[in-house]
Amino acid sequence: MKKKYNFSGGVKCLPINQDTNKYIINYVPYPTKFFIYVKYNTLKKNMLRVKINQKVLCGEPLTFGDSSSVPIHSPTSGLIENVEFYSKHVDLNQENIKITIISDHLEQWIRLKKINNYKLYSPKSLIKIIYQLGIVGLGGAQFSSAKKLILSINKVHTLIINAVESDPYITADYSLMHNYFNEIFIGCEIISWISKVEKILIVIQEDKIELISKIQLLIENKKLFKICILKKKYPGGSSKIIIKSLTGKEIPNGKHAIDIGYLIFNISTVYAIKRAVINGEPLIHRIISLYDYQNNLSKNFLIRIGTPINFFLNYLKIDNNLNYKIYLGGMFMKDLLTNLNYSISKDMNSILIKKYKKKNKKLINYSCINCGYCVQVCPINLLPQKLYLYSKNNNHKDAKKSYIMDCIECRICEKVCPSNINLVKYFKNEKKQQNKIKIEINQKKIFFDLFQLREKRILSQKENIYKNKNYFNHLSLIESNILEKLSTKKLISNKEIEKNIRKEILRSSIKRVKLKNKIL
Amino acid sequence: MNLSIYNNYTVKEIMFFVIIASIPAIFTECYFFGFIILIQILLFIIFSLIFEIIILKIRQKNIKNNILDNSSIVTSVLLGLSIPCTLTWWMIIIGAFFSIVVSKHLYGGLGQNIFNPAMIGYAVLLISFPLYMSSWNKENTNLFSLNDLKTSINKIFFKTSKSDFLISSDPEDFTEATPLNDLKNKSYYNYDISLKNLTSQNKKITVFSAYNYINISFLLGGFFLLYKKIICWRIPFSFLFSFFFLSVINFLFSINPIVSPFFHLFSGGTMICAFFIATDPVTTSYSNIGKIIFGSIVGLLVYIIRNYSDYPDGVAFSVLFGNMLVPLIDNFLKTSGYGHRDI
Repeated sequence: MKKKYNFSGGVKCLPINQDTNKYIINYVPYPTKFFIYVKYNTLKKNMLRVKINQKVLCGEPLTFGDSSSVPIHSPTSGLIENVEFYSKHVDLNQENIKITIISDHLEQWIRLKKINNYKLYSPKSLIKIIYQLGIVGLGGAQFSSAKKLILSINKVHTLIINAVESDPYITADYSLMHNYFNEIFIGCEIISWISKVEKILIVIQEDKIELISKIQLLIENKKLFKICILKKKYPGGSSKIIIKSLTGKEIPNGKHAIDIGYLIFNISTVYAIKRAVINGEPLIHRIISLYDYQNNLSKNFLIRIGTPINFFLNYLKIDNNLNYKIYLGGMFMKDLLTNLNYSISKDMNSILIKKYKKKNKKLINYSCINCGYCVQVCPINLLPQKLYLYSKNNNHKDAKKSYIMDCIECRICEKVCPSNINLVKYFKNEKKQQNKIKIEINQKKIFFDLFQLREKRILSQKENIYKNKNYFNHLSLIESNILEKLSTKKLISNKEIEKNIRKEILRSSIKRVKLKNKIL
Repeated sequence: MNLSIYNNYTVKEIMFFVIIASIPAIFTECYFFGFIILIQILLFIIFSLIFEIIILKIRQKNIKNNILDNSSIVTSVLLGLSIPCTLTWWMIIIGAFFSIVVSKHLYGGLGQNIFNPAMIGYAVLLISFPLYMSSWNKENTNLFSLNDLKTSINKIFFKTSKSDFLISSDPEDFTEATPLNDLKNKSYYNYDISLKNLTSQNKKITVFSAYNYINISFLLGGFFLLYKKIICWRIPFSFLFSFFFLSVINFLFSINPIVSPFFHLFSGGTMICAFFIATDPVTTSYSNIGKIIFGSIVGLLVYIIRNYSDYPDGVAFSVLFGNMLVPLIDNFLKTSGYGHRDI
C-alpha cells in the first residue's frame, strides 16, 4: 500500500454512494434573462465596456481588466437590458453592479483563436491569453490565476493539483476527474511549461479507489507526475492544510504558498486553463453539484455563469416553497440564500436543499465546560474555547495574541461543541473588531507623522527668525520690533517700512519724554 | 442531515452518562453499609437543587435551562459516595451549601469554577467534623431488609446526642473511614505489621473486602466512560501509573515495608479519584500534555499524603492542589497558530 498522508485535527463523516455521481448533466436550457454581478471594489479600477441597448455576442468581454481583476465575459448573445447598482444580500454597505442580458437564443460566438501547438508561444504570451479570457481560481477565493503564474516563474519547484473536496457531500471535482482526465493532463503540462516545474503532485482522497487505480495506469510512463493520497477527513481542501499534510511545512504568516516553492491549483481551474489556451474559450461554464438530502444523492450540472437559481430549480421541478430552505455552499460552510434571483457566479461550488421543519428541537445553549473537544479537532492548532471567552468579554489584546486572525471558519468546533455554542458567530464579530482597531492604529500613525512634520516646520521657522536676528545684531542696529517684523514678513513694501520706522521713532521719543517726566 | 461525527454529545448527555457509570458503586456500597447511603445521596440531591434554585433566582438567570444540565446531580452523587455513612442531615446541608453555592456559583456558574465542587464539600466536612467523617458503620447489616431501613432513617434524622454514638463503639473498634489510618498508627509503635494480623478480627475483614469491591465497581464504571469516549484515557492512566510506580519503589527499597502496592491501588478512594473526580473537564487542562502532567502531579501528592502525613486518604486535598496548578500549566503549554513558528 502507498503511504497515506494525514493532518492533525479534522472530523470523519459518513461516505455516500458515489456510483451515480460520476456523470455530468450537460444540458440545461438557457433562460431568457441572465444576471451578472460585478464587485464594486474591482469596478472602481476598471470601466464598463458596454452600454444599455447594445448588441452583445457570446464570449464578448463586458469589462476592462486591471492588474488585480480579470475581464468578465457575456454568456450569451443578445441585448443588454439594464446596468444598475445592486447591494448583495449579505453586506448592505458593499455596492455591486448588476448587468442583465436578454438572450436571443441564436448563440452567435465571437471568433475563437485556437492554438494547436502551445510550445511555439512564449510563456508570457500564454499568460496574457489566460488573463484576457478571464480565468480565476475556482476553488472559492477568486484570485486571478494569471497573477499567480506571473509570480511563480523561476520560483517554484513543484505543482500541486488539488482534487480534494473540502465538504464531504460535494462531488463536482470527482465527476470532472472521471470524465475529462485527458484534458486535465494537457492543462497540467501547459502550467508546467509556463513555470518550469520539476514535479507534479495530484492529491486525492482515499475513498475514490477507482480513480486512483485509473490514474496510476496513466501515470506509469510519465516521470513528472505522482499521486498523493490523503485521508478522508473534513477539512482537507484548503491550501494551507494540504501543504502542511504533504510536506510538514507551514506557510509563514502573511505570505503565499509560492514563497516556499509550491504552486497550488484547483482541478477545475486546470481544466479551464486548458480550455482557454487550446480551444480559446473564455470562462463561461462551471460545474455545480446539487445535493438533495431526501434521496441522499448529489448530481452534477454544467451551467453557464449568470443563470438565475430560480430558473434552474424550476427546470429540475424542485419545490422552492416556503417549506424548503436553499443554501449556497456545502454542509459545513453554508450560507442561507434569501434572494432566489441571485445568479450563479464564479466562486460558487454547490447548492444545498433542506426541508424546513417547524418542530425543531430547541437547542439550549449551555455554558462552556472547558471540555477541549474543539481544541483537539481544530486543524490549525487554535484554541477556540479561549478565543470564545476573549471575544465574549471584549478582550481584544489577548484575542490577537492567540492568533484569531488565522481562523479559516471551517465550523468544525461548532459541530463538535457539547453545549451548542455558535462559536464562529463570535469569531466573525471579533475579526471585524480587530480590523477596526487596525484601521484606528494606522490613522493614529498617520496623524502622528503629520504632527511631527508640523513641529519640524515650526522649528525651522523659529531658527530662521533667530538667525536673522543675529544677522541684524551683527550690523549693530537698534533692537526693536521693526526688525523682527522685517525678518518674518518679507513681502511688505518699502513704503510701509518707512512709515513704520517713522512711527517707531515717534513712539520711542514719546517714551523717552514720559520717562524723563517720571524721573523729574 | 445524516452527519455522523464522533463524540457528538450534549452537556446533558455527558452528565447523564456519568450518573449511569456510578450505579454499580452505589449498589456495592449499599450491600456493605446498608440503605443509609441511598438516603444520603437523595438528601444531597434535594438540598443541592434547592440551593441552586435559590441562587439562580438571586443571580436572575434562567432556572429551567441551568438545572437541566444535570451537573449539580453529578456533584451530589459523587459527594454522597465519598462520605462515610454516619453523617446526619444537618451536616449534609452544610456540605451541599459549600459545594454548590460557594465553590460553583460564587465563582460564576458552571464552567467558571476553579476547584472541584464535590471535593470542596468533602474537604469542608473533613475539617469541621473530623470525628463523624472518620467513623463508619460498625455492625455489617444485611441488605434488603426493612428493619435496616428503619434504623438507618433513625440514624440520620433522630440521632439525639453525641454520647449515644460514642458509648456504643469501643475505642479499639474505632477506625477511620478507610483502614489505611489503622495501618499508619500501628506502624509508629512497631506492631507486627502484616495483613493477616489485621484481618484476624471480624470487623476488619469486612472493611478490607468492602473497599476492594467498591474500588473494582468504580473501575467498571470508569471503563464504561472510556468506552463511550466521555473521558480521556490520559488523566486516569497517568495518575494510576505515577501512584503505582512510587508505591512499588517504596515497597522494594524502604526500611520497613508497610503494604504491597496493589493494596494501595484498591483501597481508599483511588479509583473514584482516577475515573470520576480528577477527570472533571472544567477544572483540568484542555491540552493533551497538560492532562498527563496534571494526572502525575495528583498521583505524587496522593502518595506523599498517604505515606507521610496525618491524613489517611489524601485524594481530596491532592485534587484541590492540582486544580490550583491548572491555569499555570495551561499558560505555559500554549499552542501556536498557523505559520508563526520560526523557520
